[in-house]
Amino acid sequence: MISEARFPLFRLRRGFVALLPAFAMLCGIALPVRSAEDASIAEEPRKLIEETADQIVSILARVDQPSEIRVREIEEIAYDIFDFTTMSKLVLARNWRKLDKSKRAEFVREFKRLLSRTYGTRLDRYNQEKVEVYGTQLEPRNDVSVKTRIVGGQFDGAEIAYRLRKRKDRWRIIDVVIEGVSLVSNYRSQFAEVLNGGTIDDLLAKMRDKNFTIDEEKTEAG
Amino acid sequence: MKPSRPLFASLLLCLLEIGCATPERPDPWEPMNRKIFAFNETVDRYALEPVAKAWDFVLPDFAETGLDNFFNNLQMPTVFANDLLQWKPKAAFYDVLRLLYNTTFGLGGFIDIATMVEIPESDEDFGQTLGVWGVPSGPYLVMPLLGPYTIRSGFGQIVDATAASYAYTTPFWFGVAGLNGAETAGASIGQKGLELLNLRAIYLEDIAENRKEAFDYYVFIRNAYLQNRRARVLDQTATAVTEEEDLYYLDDEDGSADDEEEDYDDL
Repeated sequence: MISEARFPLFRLRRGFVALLPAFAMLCGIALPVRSAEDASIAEEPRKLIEETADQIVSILARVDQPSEIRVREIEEIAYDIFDFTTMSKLVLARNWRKLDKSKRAEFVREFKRLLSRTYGTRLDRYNQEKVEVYGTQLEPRNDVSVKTRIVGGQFDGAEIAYRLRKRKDRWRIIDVVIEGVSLVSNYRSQFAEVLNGGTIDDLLAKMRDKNFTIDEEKTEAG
Repeated sequence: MKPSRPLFASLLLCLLEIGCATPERPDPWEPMNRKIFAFNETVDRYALEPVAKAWDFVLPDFAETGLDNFFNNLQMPTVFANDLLQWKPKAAFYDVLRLLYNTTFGLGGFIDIATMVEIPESDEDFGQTLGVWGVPSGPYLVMPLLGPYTIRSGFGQIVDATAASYAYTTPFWFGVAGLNGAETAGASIGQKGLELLNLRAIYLEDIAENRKEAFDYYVFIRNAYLQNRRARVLDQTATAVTEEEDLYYLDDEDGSADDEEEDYDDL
């Protein structure tokens, strides 16, 4: 007992050395299999992001067209590629359970409008940038992160990761992580704050209000 | 104004036992922070933003970018030191290369040649170094005029700024110009001010949009700042490394089997 306690380092080393063959075996067997699987699982979401990015960049590049049309086209793409139901569940977290079906539907509708309006207005400003898809990563819950980087423009080098989840046999985006900042986490913290001092109806009213203001300004600008 | 005793006591307590800021409760000083945040917002609205707008109006975009590059290049020695302190020799080597390229070919740092020839860029500061060394981030803190920090990042910035001012101002530039200590301090504050103003001008539209679209701008900033800082300490800005373990878990996981079919997207 005493001698062992006096040489903790030695004990650690011995333990580690004993584990090495097992570890090496695990690496040797598990790693290649895993990475081959990685590639095949992540291939589909990666392609999806690549194609969508190309589509959006080409729409943005048509600078001679009125921005309204381009933003509308991008919104259509967004409607298709985001899983708004799952995103709504994630941003509301525990509060989702408290809603009945009609309130849930209302929330998803407003959240969907919020996201597409918010990003529609923003995208409109960017037209010199390109998106480079440079990697994928398997995440817990069978999700896949697709890692992208902005090339050129004001946000040159900014890293944007898209987290995708397969549901009903379709890969769709459930989160956008910009420079380590998750959109879902950010909305979740803000909605929690609103729900802390109010009800879901207050939150819905606020969302409607925001969506309305954004629409108004867009019509004014257009 | 007399410093409030509870505030002082809680500051001391938290410095002694930083455990009072937890991932679930990152902002134990929220009431105070919100007040300072509101003050900063007012200062921004009436002083910084209008000046930044004028700045943006006068200066073409490429000049703003150039100035930003110049300030980033000035940071390189501290980035280099922190890469060494975190034992990232390869990154440290690239830092030196970047500094050389941008200072010479990049005309004193105004053109980011290093990025054009694809020398990897690292972003390290002493706050991140402390994080890598295992120092906890401590509570969230909004500083008057300076904005969001954690105790760790704030302390780190003081160290970085002090080191940088020794490296640049004391022995060389300001000595040549014949400035005394107080004037040197004034000049380095002036430099920081210019850097801030230029950055504010670059992000005019983005900040205006975020402010308008946020449901609670204070929470928006706090969440974004803490997430980004954490990702940068871990060098994982490319993926979600959230501290909220349940972020991607559905609350109705245990629910009925048709949950997966539940869909409101087409409404």
